Amino acid sequence: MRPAPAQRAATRRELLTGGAAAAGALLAVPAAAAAASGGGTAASGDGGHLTRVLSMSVLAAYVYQQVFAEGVLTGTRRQAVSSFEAQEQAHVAALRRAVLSAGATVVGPPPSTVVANQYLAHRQIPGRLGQLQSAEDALDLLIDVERSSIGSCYVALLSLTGPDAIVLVARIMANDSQHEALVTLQRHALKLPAAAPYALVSGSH
Amino acid sequence: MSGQGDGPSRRGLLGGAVAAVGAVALAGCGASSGSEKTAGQTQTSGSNPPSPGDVARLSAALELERRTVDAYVACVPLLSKPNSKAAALWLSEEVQHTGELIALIKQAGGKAAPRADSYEIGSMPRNQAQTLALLASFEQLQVAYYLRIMPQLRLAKARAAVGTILNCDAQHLSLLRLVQGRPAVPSAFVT
Repeated sequence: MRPAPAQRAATRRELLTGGAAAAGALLAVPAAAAAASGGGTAASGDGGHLTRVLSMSVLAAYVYQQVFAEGVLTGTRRQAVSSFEAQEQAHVAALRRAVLSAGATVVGPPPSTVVANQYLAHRQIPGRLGQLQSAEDALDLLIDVERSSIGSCYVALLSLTGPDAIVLVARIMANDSQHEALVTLQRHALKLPAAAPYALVSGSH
Repeated sequence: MSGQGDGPSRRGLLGGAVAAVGAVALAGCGASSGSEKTAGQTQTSGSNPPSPGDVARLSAALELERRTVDAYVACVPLLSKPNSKAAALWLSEEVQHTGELIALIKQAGGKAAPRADSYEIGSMPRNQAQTLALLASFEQLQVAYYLRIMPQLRLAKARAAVGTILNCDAQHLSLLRLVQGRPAVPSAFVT
């Protein structure tokens, strides 16, 4: 079941502000630093929306990193998705630049798997890092994370105003949709029709 | 939001031969958006006043989708059994995209043009590889077009809805690449 809009906002606030454990993960960067970064094309009102997309993106990158580290995903399944971690990191880097150019707050990765699992719970993702028992568990978690990433981009597209930010988020969202399809393909024994079963892909939000 | 336009699209699909039109894809691409936007930014919410620019861009997208539907109709029988099964599903999703776009055009204050009798899809492929390449090229065209128009769309809901179509087409593209033996997701940023 999808959370109501009010619930979603609370979830993201929780994610952004975090608990005590998460506080250290937030790196406040002043607008002056943004100007020095060479950015400046993002619309002034886009910063918060981009930060929310970034917060999900850093979580996704972290989850890929940890899933691979846990070693439950092996062989051809691992190989099929091995490039996705680097692609998620590329999303993070691009979003950080966009957030900085908008003069907003940059969000760092979760400081631990415990905190990451709290973030996953806040986003109503059932899988937990450190508790993956099988490749299927890992793939299910990655699918849920990708859907949540797509959803965060979809929600942002309803509010973003700057053309550069819109294109960036759309390109990332489409890439995460491809990830979702390819990870799903691994989950469903390479049955091609199962990988892209929906005509309209908006993720979980 | 899909469904309203699916009926006509499906009828058109059944009755449509595969042949000529072409160049329609670019019809709305160059439409000036300067009069609709302020300082290069787009509207985000509120009511839906008529937006001729959105109608033009969405109408061009509809023609692209209709052409892709014709391409799938022509190509599905040429594919191997597992690939044709998947392509038949993707065909149905492309048809749903036409319905979605028809609804979006209506929301933007326009009316979708009737489906043409047929659409130009180029030379008929002669083998599996050519068939997959042809379908991938149409999916790539759609993906690139959606990315181009999204920042130009005035209505935020239309932008997000187009994004859901973009996502599906990006998935089709990556899966077609996969069965072609190419890297399925070659870049972190879809283009």
